[in-house]
Amino acid sequence: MAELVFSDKPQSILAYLNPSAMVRNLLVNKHLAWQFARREIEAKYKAQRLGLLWAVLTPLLLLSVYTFVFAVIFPNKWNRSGPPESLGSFALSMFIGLLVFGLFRDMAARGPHVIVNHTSYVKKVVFPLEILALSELLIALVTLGIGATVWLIGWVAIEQRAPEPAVLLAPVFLIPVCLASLGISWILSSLGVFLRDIANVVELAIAVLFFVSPIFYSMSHVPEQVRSLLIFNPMAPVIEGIRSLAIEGTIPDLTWYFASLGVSAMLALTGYAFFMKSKRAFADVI
Amino acid sequence: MSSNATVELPKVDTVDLQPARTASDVAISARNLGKVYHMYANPADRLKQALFRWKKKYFTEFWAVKGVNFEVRRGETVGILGRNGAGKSTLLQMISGILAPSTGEVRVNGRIVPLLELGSGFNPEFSGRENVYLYGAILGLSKDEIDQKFEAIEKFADIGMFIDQPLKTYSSGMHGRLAFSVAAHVDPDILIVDEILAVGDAAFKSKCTKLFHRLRDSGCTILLVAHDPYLIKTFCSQGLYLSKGQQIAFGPGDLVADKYQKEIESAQMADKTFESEMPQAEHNLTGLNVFSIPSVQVIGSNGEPTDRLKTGQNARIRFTYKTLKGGTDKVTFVLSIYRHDMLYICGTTTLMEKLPAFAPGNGGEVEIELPNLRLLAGSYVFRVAIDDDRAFGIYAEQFTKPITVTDNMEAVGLVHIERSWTVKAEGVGNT
Repeated sequence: MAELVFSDKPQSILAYLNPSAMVRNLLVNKHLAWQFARREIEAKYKAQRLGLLWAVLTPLLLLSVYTFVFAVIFPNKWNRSGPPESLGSFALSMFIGLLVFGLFRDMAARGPHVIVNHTSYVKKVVFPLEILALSELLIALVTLGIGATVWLIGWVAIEQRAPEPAVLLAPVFLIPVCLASLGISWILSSLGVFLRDIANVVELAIAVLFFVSPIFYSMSHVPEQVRSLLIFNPMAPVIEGIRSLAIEGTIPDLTWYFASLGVSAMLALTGYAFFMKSKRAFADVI
Repeated sequence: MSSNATVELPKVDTVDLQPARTASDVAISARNLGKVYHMYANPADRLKQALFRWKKKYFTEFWAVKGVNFEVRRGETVGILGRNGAGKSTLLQMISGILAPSTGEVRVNGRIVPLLELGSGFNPEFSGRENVYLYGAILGLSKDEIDQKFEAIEKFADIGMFIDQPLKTYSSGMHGRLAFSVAAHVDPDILIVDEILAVGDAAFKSKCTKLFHRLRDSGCTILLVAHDPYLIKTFCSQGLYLSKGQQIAFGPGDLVADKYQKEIESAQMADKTFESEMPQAEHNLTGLNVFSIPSVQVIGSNGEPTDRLKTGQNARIRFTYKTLKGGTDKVTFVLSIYRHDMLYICGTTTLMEKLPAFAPGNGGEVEIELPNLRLLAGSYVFRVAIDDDRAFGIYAEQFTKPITVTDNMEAVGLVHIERSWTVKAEGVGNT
């Protein structure tokens, strides 16, 4: 067996900026990550009377409120040039935005608490803490999956036809959001250990991001000059792209997709390296 | 022996505590291992330090562990001794790889399983069964491996039908048993146990001891924290003694345990809690000031005053008294024996011995023979007193210095009782 050396000399952060090492480390521990996710999901729904029903009810209730506000109180239509759509179609478009944003929001909002809530894994056992973010992602993906099922049922009910085949590509388009969320989760969970106030900042940032993401509107509503800034929001091209796949059934412009993929991959790797570097000090602070 | 020990220790006969060892088969080796914490007077200082770190130090250093050097060979059992706050847990956390060292390094060879605190790695919402799988996974076992070992784990933990109940319904004993059972069954190369056995009852402790022996015999290296010097003496090949973060001694278990015990006892002697913990059978009349006992001595078998005795030796307690103004007609004399922590072992008066009360005169000397001393190894205090004629009120009392008793391990505990053995085994030779 290999010799383990725990010494006073920390590794350089550059050593962790290695994508293949990162992927290998996460894959080695994927079972553990899944076990954690599964137990967390079970715990989440076991303790509640309505159990899994909450995962369906929550987005549906929110969706009806948002639809009422943005389609009835502020009459709005999805496509400026197109004909006005039914309330149902409006809701379907908005739901996609909510689902994708929901994944990111879950990860970011829980991020600062991930390590702090698992102190016994920091102080009492040797544990690959980096996989906690991965299991957070798995949990968020399960929530998203439930929502997506609701969406598909809604589509069939409202549009009275089978979903567009292009919708099968939607998971591919989700990859940038997953990567970005992972990176954010790593950074926030590490910061959360050292700065307990970070949760408040995150709350504010999520609220801002909620409105600068094309959830209640389409990108075509955004003035030309600001639109290119939205590349730094990896969610914008993803939400738009999935809408075009699921609603119009067409494959969108892939330039935006790849740009977003690049940005979020960088974010994931940076977040990972930051986490691995700072992890050493967790047990000292917690 | 550590060269940088700063703690004043009672003088003891030390033997060579560091036998020669080879470089091969080393399981754990620590070199100049240390851990420092920065203590800030207030949170603002912490922030200032983070922002202007080059300007000045806003913290005071606290060394939880400093300059620890030792080497443990495969299959050795090391007992770690030290009082609260000596740095035992910090050291174990560094060896486990949980805490990063501030100085030096520790090298570890083999699968290391730390069992540092009750319930670590356990989720209270899940059942015992689920937690076994989860904890097993954390310790690096696959589901199949745990499947194979599950029965043994369950059997050892002995928690019956509770295995399928949420962990939050467990008693702390059950909790500890389950955790220990999993850790012991994952075939560790190195097992690290931090006082976890304290939660178990006697039956479980004896089970653990058996398992420890089995693990040790199968070549597992064991590091354990123990406050019981007897456990160290009988079970550990090596002892590591820490005090205030410093390594005081590392070497054969029994020698280190003795050294530790002596420090503990002298520390307890320093806490002057005598009066408050005295059994108050007698009524205190010392305020009358009618007698005084200037000195009391323990005399060894060679007739000289001493503070060291051996079990089985003949000893005497001798004291003088003076009668002050007035005095009284009749007095009785008292002898009591305490352990260093003021546990009352034995007390007697001349009245109990059916001796009539004495006329004290102007003063005098009293001597008490103690043939064939029955006390076992430890530190003891003798008390003598002058009481009234009914042995009810105390006129004067005096304590000896702590007396160290050594024995030759014919028995352990407090008192060496007389005994004889008869063993009648049935069916031997018939099967």
